[in-house]
Amino acid sequence: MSQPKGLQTTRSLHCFPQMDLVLIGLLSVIVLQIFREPTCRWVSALWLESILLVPIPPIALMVASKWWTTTSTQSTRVSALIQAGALLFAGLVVFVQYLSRLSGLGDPTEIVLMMMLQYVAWYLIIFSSMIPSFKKVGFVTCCALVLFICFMSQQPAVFIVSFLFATSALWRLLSNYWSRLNDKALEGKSRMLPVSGIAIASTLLVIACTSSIVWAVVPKNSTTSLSGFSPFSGGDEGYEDLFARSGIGDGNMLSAGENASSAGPVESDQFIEDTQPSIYDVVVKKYSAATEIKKQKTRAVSLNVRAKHLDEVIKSEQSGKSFRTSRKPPSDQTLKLENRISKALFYVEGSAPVRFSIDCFHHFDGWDWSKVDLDKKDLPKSRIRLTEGLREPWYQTAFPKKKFLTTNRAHRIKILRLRTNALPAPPLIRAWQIARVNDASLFGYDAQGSVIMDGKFIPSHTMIDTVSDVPNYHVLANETTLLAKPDSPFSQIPQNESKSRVERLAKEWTQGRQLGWRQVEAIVNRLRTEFTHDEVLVATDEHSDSVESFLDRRGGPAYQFSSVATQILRAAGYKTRLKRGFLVQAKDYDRTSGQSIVTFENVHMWPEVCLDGWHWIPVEPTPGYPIPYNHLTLWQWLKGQASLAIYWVKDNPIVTLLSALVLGCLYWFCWELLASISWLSWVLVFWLFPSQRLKVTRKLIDIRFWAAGFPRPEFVGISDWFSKPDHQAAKQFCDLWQIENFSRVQKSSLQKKNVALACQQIVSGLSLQRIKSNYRTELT
Amino acid sequence: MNATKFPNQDAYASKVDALRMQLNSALVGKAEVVEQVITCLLAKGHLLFDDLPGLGKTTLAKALAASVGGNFARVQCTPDLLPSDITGFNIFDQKSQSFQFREGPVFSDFLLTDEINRATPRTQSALFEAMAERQVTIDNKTTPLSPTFMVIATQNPVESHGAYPLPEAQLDRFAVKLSIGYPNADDEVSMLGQFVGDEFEKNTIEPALSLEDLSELQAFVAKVEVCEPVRRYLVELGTATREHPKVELGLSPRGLIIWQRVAQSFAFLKGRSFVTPDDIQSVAIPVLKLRIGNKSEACEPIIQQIIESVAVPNETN
Repeated sequence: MSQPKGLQTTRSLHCFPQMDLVLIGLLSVIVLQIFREPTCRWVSALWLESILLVPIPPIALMVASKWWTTTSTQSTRVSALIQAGALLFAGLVVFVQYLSRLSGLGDPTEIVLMMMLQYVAWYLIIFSSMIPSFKKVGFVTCCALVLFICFMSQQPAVFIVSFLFATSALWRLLSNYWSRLNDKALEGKSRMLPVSGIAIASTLLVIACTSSIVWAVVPKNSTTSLSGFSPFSGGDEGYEDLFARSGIGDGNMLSAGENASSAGPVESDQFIEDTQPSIYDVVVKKYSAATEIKKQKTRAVSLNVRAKHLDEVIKSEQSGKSFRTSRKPPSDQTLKLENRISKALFYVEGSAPVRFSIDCFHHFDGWDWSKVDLDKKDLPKSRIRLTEGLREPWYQTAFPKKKFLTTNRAHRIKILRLRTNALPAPPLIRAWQIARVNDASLFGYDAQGSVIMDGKFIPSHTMIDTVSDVPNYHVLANETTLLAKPDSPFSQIPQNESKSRVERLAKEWTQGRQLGWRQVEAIVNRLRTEFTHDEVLVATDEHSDSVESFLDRRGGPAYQFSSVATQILRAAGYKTRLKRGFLVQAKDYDRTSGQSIVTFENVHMWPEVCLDGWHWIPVEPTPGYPIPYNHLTLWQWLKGQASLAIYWVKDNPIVTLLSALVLGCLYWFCWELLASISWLSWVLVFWLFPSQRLKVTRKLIDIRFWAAGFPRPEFVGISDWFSKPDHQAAKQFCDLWQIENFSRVQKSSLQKKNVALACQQIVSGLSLQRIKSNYRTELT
Repeated sequence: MNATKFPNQDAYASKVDALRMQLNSALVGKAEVVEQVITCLLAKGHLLFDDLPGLGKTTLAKALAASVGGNFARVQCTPDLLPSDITGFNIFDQKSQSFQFREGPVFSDFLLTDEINRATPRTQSALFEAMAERQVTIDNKTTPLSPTFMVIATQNPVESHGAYPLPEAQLDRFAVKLSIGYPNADDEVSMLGQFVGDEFEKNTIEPALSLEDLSELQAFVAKVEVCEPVRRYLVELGTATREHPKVELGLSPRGLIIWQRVAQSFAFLKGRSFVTPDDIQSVAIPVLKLRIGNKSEACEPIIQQIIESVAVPNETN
């Protein structure tokens, strides 16, 4: 109270940031929030989040300013603490996002990064009253963010708030720099602001490079997966999809049926002409037709007999009972988006990648996979139950919930043209429902253990919601493993020449590995890394069977990978079956409709192993195809990354050693290196631009002082600083430099020869080493 | 060839050296103070010594006057000193039946006002016009003072009883404020040696510089070049004094002009014909000590903070 009024005013100005800067910071926070709105499921939570986060820096400032006034002498420490506070605040933003994700909300990673940047800028603005250098950083960061958002957004609200922001920013710039501009004008200077040619050239170069990259990277056709701003999301085209980044959609798009893609197949002429394809049709479309196999030990067989045999194979395949691993090379056919919509078998909403199985094969004779009617003991032990709660009735499998099933995920399927009575089921399906359907006997298992619907096929436009379990491989690896019995249909291997080879590979690849999932992983990884995926490299009857063909050629089509993987897994003792269905990836996502389109292109085969007697875990042996969806805790992920790094180091010792050496050298000799680079550029400029000699020499010596650990403070003139280590070496240069810069009268009398001599004298006299040693002596 | 020198500077260098030598012999071991006194003299500024008694303030002032060869006058300030005691007054001459002006001590080349803070504000203010405009107005008649008129004032910071601190307006008229401080032990031993016997009585100082020379030198100093970036730097420093939270009264434009002139003088003494930012910094403490008043804290750390808050100009183009 006894403090004079004037002092109070001074103190309050000292403690709080400039209001125009605060306004700019707030506006940029609002711009980002508006930008986030469309991708947010719960807009109120978004604003609540900002209401919670925005006041934190001002409160921190109030606390810090009290402390500041009491311990103003320890300003360096306070400054360090304030900067640490910025890091903590960024961490808090990430933590809030983490909580948000746990609750099912959350933003994509790129938005989280923008938020971190935004809130740190806000923090800097608030604390700029204490550390004035924060002002410019905070201001520039806000401007960059708002500019970026303006480029990325199409929302009118963003533009309105951005306009306000731009006005405020311009006002601030003018108010801060007006006097400077005014002075320049009075002095009759033609150039109002000091803009160097190099700065303009660099800016243009950066703009050109960025434009080229954007031009090269941005997708130009519908089959390219979305890249650019949102690299973590799937999608095709357009910028306004609402659910692309959210992972699982809420099904509104599918239910409404208003969008073009939903109604497309019905209205399309192609659809009317085209009958509903069965799984056989789409498999043939994708993998081409089965080829004829010359049975060994069969001598001359008449053409008629051979044709008859092939006819039988085709009929068997058509009925869905078998699948031949020798097929014609597929023709290269890629669907365009409009064709994909009209040829869609079903639509999917939900996260990708995901596999939908239709049927499975158990028996293999060297060329053909066929279905086997399983015994009761081999069929799923759980019955399908219908649970009717308060809401929709759900069909559920009653498999025991094992520890390795750590989470689950949901999908929504809309059947369109696929003619099948099998439920397109994601692996480890736990429950599914069709709206308003509560007939308990509607679903059941077929003789191969797949879920089927009563009737010939699932009607078109049926919408099915599914919930499936997601395995955690780390937990799975520690589970007790049940091996297959020799007489089990899941361990059948054909008695042919390849059998011993398959068994030898199984033994070799699993050697030294822990029994169970680790061995499965080992087999799959060997296939993924040592064999080549090539759809054209089909098996021919030059080999005794398709497995031999695959192993000899070290590669083949995807179905061959799955077939061989199944054989090897069986040889290793694991219950394995071959699944056939569809693989949906991020690239299948159609941003316009907000759903993934499944066509014949998505046909895929993969093995599934059963380690606990209940659950079939999918694996992916084909290189280039995504490994099945699984769950990892953060700790597991970190451990995985660490062990990956260790393996990499072990595999590349020379590169690691060299990198370590280079990094070590950089660490120990970085200043010398920097000084040498500066010297090289000095030599270049020195001879090319004699007029710049004094300037570049001054910069070089400044860099040397900086590299020596004694940077010249901004408020100290060069003659004071440069003279300290070696007065004699610096004197001549300092005199000439001062004349050049502070005396218009004597400037003209400077002789180039003297300047060059003085520059060379100081550059040789004040070497980095000499500055280091002499300066220390001077200080001590 | 030393390209940084004035064209005709060598001619004056020896005279300034002689002046420097004489002042140094008068005030032993205080070369830095002597340098600042000469700087102030050449800058045509007035000097305020703020120091304890017996440190040689008066000795230095007398030596300065004697070295330059000008008239020297001294006023011992007391509370009953009247303005007319300084400026002079009109007295009625019975013979001529008219008023005749009797000049006060202000009509000299060097005026030593000892313990200026003992004089009443009225008397102190009598010096205002003389210091600022080098003229005196008495009974509506303005009389110019000597062109090299210089006030050397001393004040004793210890005794506050019966003292009248100088008002800010008057402080601003001085160019610099100096403190002599105690000499070190060796210098004191040497000084004591000078005062053994009656040698020091005979020690008379011969003028090293004539008043004409001084005028020319002062004119020379005024011409020392101060380029635009250095002027801007000076202005930024001035602004910094006004914005510093601990400075109650920032630097006035007159203060800036004096600072520039003192820096010019400093550059001249360094043998240069232009001012560098280093010169501005070198004279900052004696110039600013006088002007940025803060009763509770020492000025030097604040001045240092102000200097550190402004970046020196590097390349001008």
